[in-house]
Amino acid sequence: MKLVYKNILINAIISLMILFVGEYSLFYFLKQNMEKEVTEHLQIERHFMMRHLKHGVNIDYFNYNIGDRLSIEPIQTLQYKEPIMKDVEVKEEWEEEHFTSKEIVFDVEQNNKFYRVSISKTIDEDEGLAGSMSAIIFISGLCMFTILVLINVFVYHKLFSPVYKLIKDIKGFSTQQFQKIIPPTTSTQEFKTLGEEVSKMSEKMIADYASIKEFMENMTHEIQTPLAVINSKIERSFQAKDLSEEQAILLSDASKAVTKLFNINKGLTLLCRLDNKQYNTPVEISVKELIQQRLIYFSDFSENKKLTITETYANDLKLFMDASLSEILIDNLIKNAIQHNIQNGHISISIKNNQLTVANTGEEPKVPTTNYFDRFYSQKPYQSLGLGLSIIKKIVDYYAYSISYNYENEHHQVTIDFSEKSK
Amino acid sequence: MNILIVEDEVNLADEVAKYLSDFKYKCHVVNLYNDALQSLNYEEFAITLIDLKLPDGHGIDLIHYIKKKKITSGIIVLSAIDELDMRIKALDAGADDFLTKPFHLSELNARVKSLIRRNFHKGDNVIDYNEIKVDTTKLQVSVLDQVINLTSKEYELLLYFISNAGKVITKEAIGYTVWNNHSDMDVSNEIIYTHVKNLRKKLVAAGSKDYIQSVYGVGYKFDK
Repeated sequence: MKLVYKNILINAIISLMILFVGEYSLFYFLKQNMEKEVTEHLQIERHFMMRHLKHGVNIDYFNYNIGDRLSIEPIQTLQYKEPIMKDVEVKEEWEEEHFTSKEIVFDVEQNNKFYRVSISKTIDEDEGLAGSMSAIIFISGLCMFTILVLINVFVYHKLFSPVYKLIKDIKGFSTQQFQKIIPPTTSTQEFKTLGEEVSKMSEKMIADYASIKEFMENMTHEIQTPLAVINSKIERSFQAKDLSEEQAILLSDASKAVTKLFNINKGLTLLCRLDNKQYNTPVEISVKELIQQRLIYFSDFSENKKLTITETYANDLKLFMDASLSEILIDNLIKNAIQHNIQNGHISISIKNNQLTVANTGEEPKVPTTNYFDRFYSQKPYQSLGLGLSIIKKIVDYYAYSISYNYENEHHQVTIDFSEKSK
Repeated sequence: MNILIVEDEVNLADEVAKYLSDFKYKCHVVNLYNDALQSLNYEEFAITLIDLKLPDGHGIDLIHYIKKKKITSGIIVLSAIDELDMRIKALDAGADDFLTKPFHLSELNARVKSLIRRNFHKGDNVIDYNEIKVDTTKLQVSVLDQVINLTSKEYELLLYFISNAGKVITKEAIGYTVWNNHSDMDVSNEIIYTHVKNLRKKLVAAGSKDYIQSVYGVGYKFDK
């Protein structure tokens, strides 16, 4: 949720709560006051009546002069010497609804006759007043609140625009483009500091990335000549006339290790070059033809494991890719499928629409396959390099294709989606 | 035959010189660009091996110099830069072959021989090794004048062995050279074994001496 909406939501909840509480208490106190007033009024009316009665005014005189409604009934004995107050519901003939009224009931004596007097006064009309007052307050409250929201949205967007710009810049930031983040111009102190710090950070990241890259490039390059020296020394030592078996095995182990270094270095050089975007001569590649060619090339290896290979091509796939990268990609897919296969195993290669799937039998994965494409990750670290999969991933990323791995029906399955939409 | 080795890494240059000297080549090592220019002016070399990055110049300029001065020498580039661009640049300038560091001496030797065959034995591209004859134009092998059928890998292996006759060649070098850098696959040893076994069988069956010897299980030697 955006900060501005979060802020509005909190504001809304609190102001609505205050509005309702205020509204309710206002309504409640107004009602109380009005009831009190009506009661007082009725008391006054009673006193007025009593006084007039005392002075000998005939009781019938009051019939139309007092309260909203008045009833005077003759009774036998005096019962309510003290007045009682009660709420009554009255329905007038000409009105639809009922009215709440206050009624004062008391008994009086005149000329030795007893009467029960009940005077009532409607309070609903007054409640109506309270109601409209509350409504006015409620509506103005609501108006105020709406304006507050609008101002908030506007001010926030204006106020936070440097932050939004910064977020956009951070999202689009890549160390490989060597462009530092420029702090947004703002007069807000905090945002100014934030922008400057982020800018400094991006600068540092770019510098770090550049130095790592330079280091990698230098290392992979500079290591090649010493490796060639070591390898030549080993090769020439093998030619010694009096070489013992023990020495030969020692040299052979060294030779194997150096060869492994050759391959690691080659892989890293390739990854470096991909990082540097040094492949940009795309040509049209027929994936089907390329696979068929490379399968022949690797037939020595697949025949050695007695693998059966099935190829299903629903259609051919034409790609615009760097020729050497496309070969490296397909080679690594095939090599991976052979390398991690079992004796008498199976490889299935299929193209359907824009998808290439290479599946192979092999040991069930013992570890989660989420880091399947990470550099150097390998189930058997001493037998293979594991660099192959990260090369595949890097090439796929380079062209913004998408790749997925899963284990299904005892087959490891790598699927590459070459469709444009994933770009 | 003379070979000029232009390589600033003294250790590597010496190893190359020593390995090639065993095949009756006279090797001359220089470590600087300017020394290379001098040597080329004084002497004739069948092959010049050129490292691209020299302390006082660039190998490509040396190739240009050789071509400009019409010096007849085969050129093999030894480069630590394994880039298609650089390869094309070197070959465009007039290099005959391009070998990326790190390399195996046996592979370099095989390439030197192949280049010498191309440059100096025009029309006669047949390698004689006692009863074995390898026709590098027709890609054909015969034993006692009887043509034998070899697979392409067996042919490559045989050529590689004959080029490095008398030398121990490790399985790593074979995998790296014949199977083109896919030796990182764990089955490569078995594959090499199978192919060498088949080659050996075919040669012996055709009446050749059994030249291929296994050396302590770590490599092979093609020898009398």
